[in-house]
Amino acid sequence: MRPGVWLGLGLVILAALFDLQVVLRSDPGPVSAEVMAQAVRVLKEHQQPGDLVVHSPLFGVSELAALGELAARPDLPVLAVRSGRRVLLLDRIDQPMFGFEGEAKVVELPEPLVLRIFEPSGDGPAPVYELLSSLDPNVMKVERPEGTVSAVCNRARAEGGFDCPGEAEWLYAAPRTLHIGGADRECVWAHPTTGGVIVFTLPAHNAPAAGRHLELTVEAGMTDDAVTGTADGAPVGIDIRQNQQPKGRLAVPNQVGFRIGKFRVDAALPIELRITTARDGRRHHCLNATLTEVPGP
Amino acid sequence: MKGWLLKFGGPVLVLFYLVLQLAALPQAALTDDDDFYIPAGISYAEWLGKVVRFDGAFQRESIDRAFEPNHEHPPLAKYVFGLCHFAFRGWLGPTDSARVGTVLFSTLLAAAMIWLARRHLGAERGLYAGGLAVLLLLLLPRFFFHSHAATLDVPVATMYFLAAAAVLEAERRPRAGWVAGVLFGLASATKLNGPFLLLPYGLFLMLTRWGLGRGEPRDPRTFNLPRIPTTLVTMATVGPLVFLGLWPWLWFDLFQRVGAYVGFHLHHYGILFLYFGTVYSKDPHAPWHAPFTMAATTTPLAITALALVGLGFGAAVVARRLRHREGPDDDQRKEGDLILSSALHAAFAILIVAFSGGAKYGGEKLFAPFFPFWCLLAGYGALRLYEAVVTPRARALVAGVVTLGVASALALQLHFGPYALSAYNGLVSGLRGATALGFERQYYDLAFRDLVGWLSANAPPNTKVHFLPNNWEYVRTYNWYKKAGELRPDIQVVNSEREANFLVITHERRFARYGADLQRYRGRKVILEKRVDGVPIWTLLDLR
Repeated sequence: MRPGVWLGLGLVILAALFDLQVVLRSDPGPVSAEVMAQAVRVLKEHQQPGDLVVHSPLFGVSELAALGELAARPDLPVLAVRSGRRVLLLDRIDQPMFGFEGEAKVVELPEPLVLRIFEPSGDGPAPVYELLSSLDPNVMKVERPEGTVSAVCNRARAEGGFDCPGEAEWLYAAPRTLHIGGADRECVWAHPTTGGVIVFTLPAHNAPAAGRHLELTVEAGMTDDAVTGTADGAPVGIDIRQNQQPKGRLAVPNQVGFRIGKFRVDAALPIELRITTARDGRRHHCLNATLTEVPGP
Repeated sequence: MKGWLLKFGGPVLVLFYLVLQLAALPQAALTDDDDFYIPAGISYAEWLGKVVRFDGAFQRESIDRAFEPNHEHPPLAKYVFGLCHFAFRGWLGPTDSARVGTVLFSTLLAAAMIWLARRHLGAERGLYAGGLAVLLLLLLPRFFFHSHAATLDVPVATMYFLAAAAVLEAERRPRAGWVAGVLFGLASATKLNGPFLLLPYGLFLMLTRWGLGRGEPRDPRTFNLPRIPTTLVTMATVGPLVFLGLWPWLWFDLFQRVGAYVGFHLHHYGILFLYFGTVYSKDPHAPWHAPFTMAATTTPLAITALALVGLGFGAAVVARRLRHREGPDDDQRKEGDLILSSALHAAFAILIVAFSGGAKYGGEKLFAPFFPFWCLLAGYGALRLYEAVVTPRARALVAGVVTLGVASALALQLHFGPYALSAYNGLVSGLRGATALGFERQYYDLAFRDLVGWLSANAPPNTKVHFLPNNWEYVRTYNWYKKAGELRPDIQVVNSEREANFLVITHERRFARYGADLQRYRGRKVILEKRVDGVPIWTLLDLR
């Protein structure tokens, strides 16, 4: 037979064996509660204040019960966070989680677990949340009057995002590309409503390491058409609150372009962006909100 | 026996394909898109009823009302979903009836694959290569799943393939160019992938007609315009007419609505996509290599290996075809055309998603037209391996290896079963490896029917269920199960998790809240957990 035929046959055999091993290998099954509990004990011995704990995405709910109240998620932290925080990774030794670079200190645990500890390599700002890419049906609601929830915006729109049952069709949360400040900008549609409050709720985040804190950046504006075509358009205000305590306010006047505000916020508490206006006529208002871990006391 | 095989082998295989597809229909989970396309299909089919009854169908108000649902996408497949819904709903229920439409598209594709292979490889060789290609298409777990969803991906793969086949047929029968124009219009009226057929066809023309890359000496003093093939003319004229004719939504406000259609896809809203542990949505979209990675890791490896073998053997045939553009031996050129055309369409199906600047999400669904061409190349690879040896022992060895390859693909297909959108191949160590790598273990907000069946059989009366992290999709899909009588009428999917007594966590890392949800509920009693390849897919928790 020609070498090409051998090569072809070899390739098909190799490919078939690769797939067959997926089918024929044994299912490891969930890790037992005893092994998980033992692993968590060891993990806690190595844990220091400000550490970020990550666990393998292969663990199911019952396996994770052993973690109790320990703050730990299966998400790969963004590079900036990985370089700024010490990361403890509770992982499976047979199928390690991908994405962590650099040398790790390996702490042996009962099979099939392993604890890997990654030391921080830098200390720059680290974005941990962005509203635009995290819209879900629980993020926006309407209070009418203030303090009374009249609608939770959880109905999927065919065009993307969520609208608010019982409210006007122009009240919704969705990513939009709008002309603001002379450029096409992507942001979250956040039209205010007369006599009501549009509330965006951002989820709570874990405390950053010592020497760092959480900073919320809000940029908001109205479309250029809405500003230039409505000379008497009312300003829009965004109040930032946590646990009903004010954390700051961003005023958006009837002017072309985005306004930007930075606010220090607390860890472990949801953040509310409360949007109001005196008159909602042509207030085609849009915003971005980003939460960042930044160095500083 | 051989005569019988040549005569009936193709139809029997296509019938087998249809029966298997229909048999799997009751297991296929509803996707979040079914709830957009099925109601739209019902609305469009009702409009067709008005057309038949001369019931004011062509008034603008009637058209706008009928075609407003899901006007972001063209209508062809939705007409079929709607007609199938009305034809089969008494027998199969409201959704599976509509999904018969997708099965029919998929079966039409199988028939077209065999037809195309026979036209270009001869009756016997074509049947073997095309027949094996159809068998391999059946063994693609993800394509098999999409063949049961009332969505546009398999329909556009079919219509794209039909148009490409007609284009190739027109190489030797110019009158087929008119059919190609019509089919191109139908493909464009199915989904946005359709019009992109022009790119690989353009390159095919440059390579085969206009001598691109042949290095022929040219007289710089003369310039002759290349002859424009009829097919290209019909695609540019008949195609758009068919597209417009089929889509009444565009008949009024043509420019504004065409602009809105194009604009919607140019600025498509972001859809979350988990790739190597990073969640992409928009700005930036996932990197260019994501669709290639998805194709490489979700197609059974033996199929890819056979396709590469086909490309390896086919390269020489294509090179000969490009060298000898005229002459008596048209069989060789036909074979070269088939391989070249399949390779170009397969490549462009992914290249367009990779480099168009549009959204990349949903694993492999955006480049569905890739798969039939890839399977055709795989079928051709097996044929050429078999033909490359002469002794009975060597032929038995080749047949054995190809059977091993087919068996491994079948094993992968059965391993994932109705959880086909979780299927990953051995390149990434299956779903287990893919999940650890940071790929999506499922997408499309699948409302798995084994869970629906379990709830109907075991949940206490008036159970209230909530899904995390994306309950809103299940509110929609579970309503269909209720209408179909699959879900007990007293079971409700509730909007608030506080009201729920059962909670289902679908393990989807692309949602920012998933980690927090997992953290909040990790202490709760697990009633049932579905694991596939050792990986949790959904967990049912008791909140009582």
